[in-house]
Amino acid sequence: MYIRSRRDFLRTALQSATALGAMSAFGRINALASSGSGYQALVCIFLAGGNDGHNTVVPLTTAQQNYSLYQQGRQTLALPQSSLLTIMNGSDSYGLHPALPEIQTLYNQGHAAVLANVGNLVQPLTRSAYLGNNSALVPSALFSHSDQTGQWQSGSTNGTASTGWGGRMMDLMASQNSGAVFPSITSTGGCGLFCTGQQTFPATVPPPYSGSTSATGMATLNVGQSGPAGAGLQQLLTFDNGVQLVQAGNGIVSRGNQYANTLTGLLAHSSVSTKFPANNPLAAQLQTVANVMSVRASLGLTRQIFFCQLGSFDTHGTQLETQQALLQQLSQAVSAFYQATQELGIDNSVTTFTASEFGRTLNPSGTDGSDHAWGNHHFIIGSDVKGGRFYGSFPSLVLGGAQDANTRGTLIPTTSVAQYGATLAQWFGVGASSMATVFPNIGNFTSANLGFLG
Amino acid sequence: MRIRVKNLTVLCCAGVFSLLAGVAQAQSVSISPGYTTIGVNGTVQYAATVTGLSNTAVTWSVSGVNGGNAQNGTISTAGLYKAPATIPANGITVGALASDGKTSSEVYVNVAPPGPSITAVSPNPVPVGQYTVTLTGKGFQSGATVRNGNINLSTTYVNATTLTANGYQGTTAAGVFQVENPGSLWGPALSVPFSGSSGGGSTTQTISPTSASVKLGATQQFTSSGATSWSATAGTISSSGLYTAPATMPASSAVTVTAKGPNGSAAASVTLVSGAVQAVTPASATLALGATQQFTSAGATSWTASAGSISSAGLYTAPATLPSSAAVTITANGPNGAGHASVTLIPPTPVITSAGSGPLPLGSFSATLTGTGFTSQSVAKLNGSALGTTYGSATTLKISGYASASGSASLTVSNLSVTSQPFTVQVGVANAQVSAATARRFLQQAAFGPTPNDAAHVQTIGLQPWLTEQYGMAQVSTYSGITSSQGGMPAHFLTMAVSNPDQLRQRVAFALSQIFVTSFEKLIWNDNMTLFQDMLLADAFTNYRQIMADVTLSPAMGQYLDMANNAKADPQAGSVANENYARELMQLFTIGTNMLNSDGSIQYDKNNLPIPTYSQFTVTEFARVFTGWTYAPASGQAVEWNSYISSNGPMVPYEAQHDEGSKTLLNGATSPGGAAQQDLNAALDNIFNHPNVGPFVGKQLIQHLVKSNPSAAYISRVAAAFNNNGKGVRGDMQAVITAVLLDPEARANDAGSADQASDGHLQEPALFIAGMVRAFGGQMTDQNYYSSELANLGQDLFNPASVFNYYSPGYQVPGTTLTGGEFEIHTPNNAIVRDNEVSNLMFSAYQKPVQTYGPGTTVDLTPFVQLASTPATLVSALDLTLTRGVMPSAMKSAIVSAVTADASNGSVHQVQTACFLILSSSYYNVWH
Repeated sequence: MYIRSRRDFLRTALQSATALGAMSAFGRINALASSGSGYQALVCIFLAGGNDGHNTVVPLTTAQQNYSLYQQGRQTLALPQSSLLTIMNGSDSYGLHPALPEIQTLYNQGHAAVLANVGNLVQPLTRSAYLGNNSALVPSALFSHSDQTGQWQSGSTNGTASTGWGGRMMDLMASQNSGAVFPSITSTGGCGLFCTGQQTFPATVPPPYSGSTSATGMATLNVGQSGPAGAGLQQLLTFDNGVQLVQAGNGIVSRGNQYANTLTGLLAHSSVSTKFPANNPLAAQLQTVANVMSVRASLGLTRQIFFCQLGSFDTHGTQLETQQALLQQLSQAVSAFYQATQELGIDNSVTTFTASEFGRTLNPSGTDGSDHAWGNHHFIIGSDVKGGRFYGSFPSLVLGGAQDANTRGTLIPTTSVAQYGATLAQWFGVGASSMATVFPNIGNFTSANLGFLG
Repeated sequence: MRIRVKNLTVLCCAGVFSLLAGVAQAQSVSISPGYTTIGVNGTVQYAATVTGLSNTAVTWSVSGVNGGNAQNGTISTAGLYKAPATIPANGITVGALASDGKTSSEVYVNVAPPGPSITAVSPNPVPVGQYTVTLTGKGFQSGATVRNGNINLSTTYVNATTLTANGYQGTTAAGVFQVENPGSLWGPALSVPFSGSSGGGSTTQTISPTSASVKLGATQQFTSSGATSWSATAGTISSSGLYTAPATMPASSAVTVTAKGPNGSAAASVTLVSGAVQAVTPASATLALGATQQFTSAGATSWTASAGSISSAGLYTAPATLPSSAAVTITANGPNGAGHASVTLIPPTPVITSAGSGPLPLGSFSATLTGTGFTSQSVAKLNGSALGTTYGSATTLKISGYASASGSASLTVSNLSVTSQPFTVQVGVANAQVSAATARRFLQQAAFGPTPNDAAHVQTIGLQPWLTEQYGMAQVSTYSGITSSQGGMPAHFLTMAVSNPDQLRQRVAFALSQIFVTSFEKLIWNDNMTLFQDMLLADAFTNYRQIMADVTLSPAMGQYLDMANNAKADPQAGSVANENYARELMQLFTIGTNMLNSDGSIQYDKNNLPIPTYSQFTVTEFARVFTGWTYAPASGQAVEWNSYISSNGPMVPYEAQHDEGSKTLLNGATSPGGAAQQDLNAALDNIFNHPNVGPFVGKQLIQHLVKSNPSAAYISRVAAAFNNNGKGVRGDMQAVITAVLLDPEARANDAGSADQASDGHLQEPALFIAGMVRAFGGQMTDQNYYSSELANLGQDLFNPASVFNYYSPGYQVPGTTLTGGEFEIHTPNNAIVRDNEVSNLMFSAYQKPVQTYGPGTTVDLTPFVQLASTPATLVSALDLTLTRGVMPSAMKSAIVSAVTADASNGSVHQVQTACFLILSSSYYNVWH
């Protein structure tokens, strides 16, 4: 990519859309389900460390079970029933963690949905199949942070991928962004595997430093670009002495300089007026996402994926206090971000979803923490979400029961990450026939669309 | 300097062994204002913003002491800081601790001494245009800077009461001059008028007086600023402008005296007249320093001398020390006016007797010359090129410069026009064991990069002997001097990395700290972290089994991975032992998740899938082993279960909470269980003896020290050394380190002509900053600002987001098929930040060779400034210093062009530009 004038970018972007519109009469191009359908964005919020889903969504009175069963398994980690925020799934009542009132509101407005018991799966799995120890049937290294993070983000289940499903989706979408002058994937929380495709590399846009009035924390080169030092630096970037890591370094500096010049030129200060909560690292990231979205037309992007991270969810100890603070940040940040998308007029075009490498054991370890587990509950938020209800299958919390991989409430997922991602991908414009490129084992599951998006 | 925002760590997570990046804590404190400079007894009002806690009160501290103290300054409960009455010895931090007792923030405050005062500026008024002024005052220090308004001037230190400065001012607005000494505040201002000169700019050479009437045989002193030559159409004129009229009247009584100087030439007219002159006898004399000469002049009533002293009776004594010019004017005032005589001082002849105890190192060097006859005007030269020369005494001079070629060279010292006999010195190492390029590359792997002295030493003794020397060197590096409760460790890491001699120990300990990871994110306080890092330093050359034992029972790791106070299962309560330490000990510290071959490759089962090293069941079994350990009590106290975190030494057993049953360990082995310590020993032995440990650990050590993509054969050789050091011992760290560093694959590219596509590794931020300063022989003190800068570069030292380290060793570099862990934090944004770190340091000083970044970091470019007039020589010199002399010629040419194009910005800027271009290049950043 090279810098062109803004007018050139917009002109080319419109040309692409028109060309696609014309060609759609002759069938699909590049596996797009729809063409010229305007702007769409996916925002992934990765809860790093393994969020405890058992205390995020708690059964109160359901056809399957009730609060007291939850409490028996949870022991010292159980949240008091009166503190939970009630939501209905049909005639079943559940309680959200007390730190999630904003998500409760979005759920009740029909803009948020719960996806229950989702996790990495090779194929649908029963407890007895799991206990049979057949490596072909079960994802590898199930309780390892690094492997499970890799599998969640790559969409493969044996941890050897080098691209992620966000990147692979964008590889397929390249023609939608043919006029782009900025990467289609932006990360505010590191350049994770999720963001990397065969041809797609993300831009990393940190949030601004606390106290700064800039719209982003992107750095631009201090050295004047036109003096001998700046010109020399550019020239040296073109030299190749045959060592690939040196070349990689050159590419990174080159891209960094280009991205920073492009974005800071457009975004010296934010034009998004929605107030985001202060001292909330996820809110700072989502505010940066909103800022980047606000200049999407100038960036020439009609499809964008964003990646944000919130950390410290690995609650082997002090779980109750830690998760309270983190989920409060999540809820307040997500709510402000939703309002920002309304302000920008794109709330129907933006879908935000949570992810985490695994859930945690229902049964505590020690008195105040839990161990690594597997299936987890997640949220999908946006105006296009068919919210106010649950998707997937909420598991039984009986210890050692049919949904337990052992005796500690380690949920065997009933919905796979592939299905979760494929539902998002289809909404995003990836055609069913290309889905296996993005999710290699999607064919192992009965449904590639869970139906939570309109 | 920015406020360190502890909670913002932007990291990547990718690759096979992915990383958790936590952008973390919900509770936070931030302090404003940020970095501030004040004088003694000055005050700053701080405010703290607390979030995530209902009680927003904070406790203020100064350098770790609540409320501060007299030495570092005090701070009230309302956050009003008052600096102490004297400058504190160390950098001062102001801290705010929130009501939860663990969330905090800190900012630096720089208490600087007052600046020196100026008593006079000359000339006064200052002519507009290009000007040179002499400032008189007191308390000036070498390195002082003069400014006029906001503009720093090029300043020359003469002595404690005199500075000269050059500047440009185009208007006649009053100049406001101030002086700062290094590290001080700006001193009081002195306002000095500027006056316009004829012709709109004082760029002409002037002469004074412009006309004079001189008797035959008499003398007249002329002055012309900066004049380098004098001539007269009749009579004679000395090099100091002393005109002597002819004895008899020439054809014309009109004489023109001309001075030539930096601004052109200036002429004065002299009219010769007859008449009695005030003759002085003798008219001239040549004297040694301190010698005397009697002058006479009829009826003279007073005598003066431009240097030295003269009595009222005309007895002149030459100065004891050589002034900047050997020409002295003697003046007698008498009935016929002023008469002059000239004295020429004889500089002492310098003699060099030694140039230090060994050869001068190749590259930039400093040394001490001993001899006789040295003066404050002495200038040393190496093969005819002037060196930086600092007068010590008549018998010592300090010299510094750049030596570009190995072999024998000639040193001379000159006192003005008198030069010593040449003294032969060896530059570089005679009978070198390895080449200069090899030594420097080796030190990129085994140290924090080369210094010229260290490289010379490696060349002198060879690689294996250097390793032996390092193994035998007692531990120098330690964090035990850190007394504050938070902060200070990253800065100290860099100080030690730049200058401590136990370089290999530090590199290995740093690598081990990225395998056995702990983090301030959970540890919070310095106590346990300093002990932990010191333990890795102490254990670096021992045995891996020893390290495993010491890590397992360290209170830092006990806290970090929940082994401290880990209770055995309680069936009634339904709880089981915490798995955290058991899992990460195996996954990250010893064997990994997949069975490996001895060459580090993954083994596959019949489904072509990796074979796990352990199952979930094994994790729970080891979790049972690691029960019943708690923090050591204070001395004399009994061991208590659930005791609070302490740093009173390794954890201690509490048998009642230890699960004594038998356990199934790795590879089907069972342990009978039993008491906590024996159970633990058996478990650690079991893990230690797993065949994975050699390749798993060996590969990571190669990646941290040498290259990110070692061949399978290289890993096999290192794993073999781990398995058996040749004397039947497994896990011998010295054998492993030697195998890593002396392997033929590690040494293959020493000469620089055998680049392989998969070579090298990116310098992580901590290595990069330390190496940049070390390469120039620079200084780093604990006051350096790089703690927060390292975080901005993606490596918040000792505070990684999770136990998976700052980056994952298996991270695949996008766009390649290669591994490069350090690239995981080298995001496009962080790469730009890194280039800015280089320019912040290398372009920090305007027209001055000493670069600084805050008070703690200094790099002196003086040896290179002398080379700027020949850009090719300059770039070769920097090539040797930074890229071991093997830079590709196309890259050198590009830098030479840039340096040449930069000439109008002055020689210091040319050097800065060349340094910036090399240090920001990927060629430099990726050591290969």
